[in-house]
Amino acid sequence: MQLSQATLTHQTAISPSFKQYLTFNTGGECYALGILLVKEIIEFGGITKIPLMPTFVRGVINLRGAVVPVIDLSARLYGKCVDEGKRTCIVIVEVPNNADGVTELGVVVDGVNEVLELNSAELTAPPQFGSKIRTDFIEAMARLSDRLLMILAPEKVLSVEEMASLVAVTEHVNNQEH
Amino acid sequence: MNTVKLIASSNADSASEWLIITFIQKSLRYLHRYGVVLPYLLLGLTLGFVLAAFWCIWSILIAAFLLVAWGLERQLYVELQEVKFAYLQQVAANEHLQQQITQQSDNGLAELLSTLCQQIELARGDANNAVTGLTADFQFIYDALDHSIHLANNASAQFGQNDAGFAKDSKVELANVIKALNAALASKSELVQSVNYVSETATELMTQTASIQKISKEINLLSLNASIEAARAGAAGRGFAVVAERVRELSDITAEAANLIIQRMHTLMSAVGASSTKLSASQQQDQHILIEAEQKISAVLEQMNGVNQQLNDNVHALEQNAATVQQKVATALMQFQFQDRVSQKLGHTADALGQIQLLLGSEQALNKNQITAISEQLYASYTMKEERDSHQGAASNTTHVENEITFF
Repeated sequence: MQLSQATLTHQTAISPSFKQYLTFNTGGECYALGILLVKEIIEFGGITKIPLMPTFVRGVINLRGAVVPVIDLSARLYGKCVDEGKRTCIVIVEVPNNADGVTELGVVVDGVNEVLELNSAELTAPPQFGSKIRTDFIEAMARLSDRLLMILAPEKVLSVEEMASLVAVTEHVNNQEH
Repeated sequence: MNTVKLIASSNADSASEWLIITFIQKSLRYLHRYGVVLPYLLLGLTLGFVLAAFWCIWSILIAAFLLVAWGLERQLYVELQEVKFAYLQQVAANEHLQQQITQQSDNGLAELLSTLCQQIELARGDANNAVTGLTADFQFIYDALDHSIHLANNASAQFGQNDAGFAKDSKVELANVIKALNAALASKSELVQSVNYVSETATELMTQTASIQKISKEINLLSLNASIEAARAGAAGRGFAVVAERVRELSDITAEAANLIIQRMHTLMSAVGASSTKLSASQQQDQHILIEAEQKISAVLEQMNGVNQQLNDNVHALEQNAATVQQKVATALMQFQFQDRVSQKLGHTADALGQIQLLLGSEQALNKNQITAISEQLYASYTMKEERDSHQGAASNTTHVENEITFF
């Protein structure tokens, strides 16, 4: 097995059609993110809550001196916060923004599984219905031996602008209420 | 009407009946004629008869009274004569008796006094003998009691010593038993401690295994991060990605192993916990039993002590009783000295009687002075106050010269 994996890895090094993904669980479903977007994975904890934020913004963390906002993916996708467990962790991702830079974001997930290498032949287009989420959040679907894996589109799911507008709307609503 | 009837019937009857009827007819005719005078005549006759009768009765009664009075007077006279004679006879007899007494008095009294003296001496002798015998008997009783008290003392002392020794021995042996039980209990408690130690160690192991789990999780995360770094390094990181993947697998295996260990540990802990609980319960039970045994043993020892105490007390009481009896006997022996006093009293009395006898023997008439002299001599010879008191009580009218010397 070790040998075959090594062979596989060797093959992927040659063929550009292979791409690596980080798989994780959130909201009871298995998702994947392109590994090049992922910077690192850290243990859950040390989150400072920020008042008057929508539920999917869990707060900010201090990541080696940099203040990084943390998004709850489950809340973003299903409107339901993650239950903190042993395997809960924060995936630090780099999302490209409009100003030709990248924004670091922390994403709270139920648990990280593994790094998968998928052939483009294994990927299919997202379905038009049948999923619990907006299909534009899904970049593609991967057929694994026993299940399907949703590969998230980070520029949609973790769109900084959209989230900022959402925050603004929330603030506006809150101001009106006051 | 009747007459008519009678006349009618007479016609048919005999001549005699006719005569009677005629007489009755005549009588009735006279009665009818002089009927008013007849009652007065009868009254006069009756009164005369009664008066005559009274006179006769009174005469007879008076005659009878006179007769009876004369008879009584004669009888009284005769009786008075008899009484006079009897009196005279009595007087004569008395005179005779007096004479006799006067004649015999001197000799008889002397003899009587002599007899009395002899009797008194005899009584003294008897009393002396009896009291001497009694004294000897009481002395024997006293000695016997002394011996008994001595024996009782010895027995008490011996008993006390033995008893104390026995009680002490029992106490020591029972204390040994309790010590042995305590030792057994201590060994058991050591066992319990070791079991508890095992349990604690198992808990520590669990904690350590949990830390292993945590480490494996961190390694997993580290390996993922390594994979990410390798991917970001592009082609150069390919080999490192393989290493990272392998590390991740190893961390998974470690986590599984740790899980398994934790499961086994749980089983072991529950078993150890159960045995520890049982052991603790058993230990407690043993402790209870030990405490109970100690209590019982001390109770038994106390009872034994109580019994010993009672026995000792009884022996002491026996001793005391014997001593009291001995004391009483000693007092009784002292009391026997009264015999001496009785003897003295009797001796004095006998002396006095002897003097009286001598006086009587001298055939001189006793006069009051002589008797007083004897009495005073008797008084002077007294050695005891009670004798003098008694003498003074008997003859309080006579005065005596006090002899101050008193012997005891």
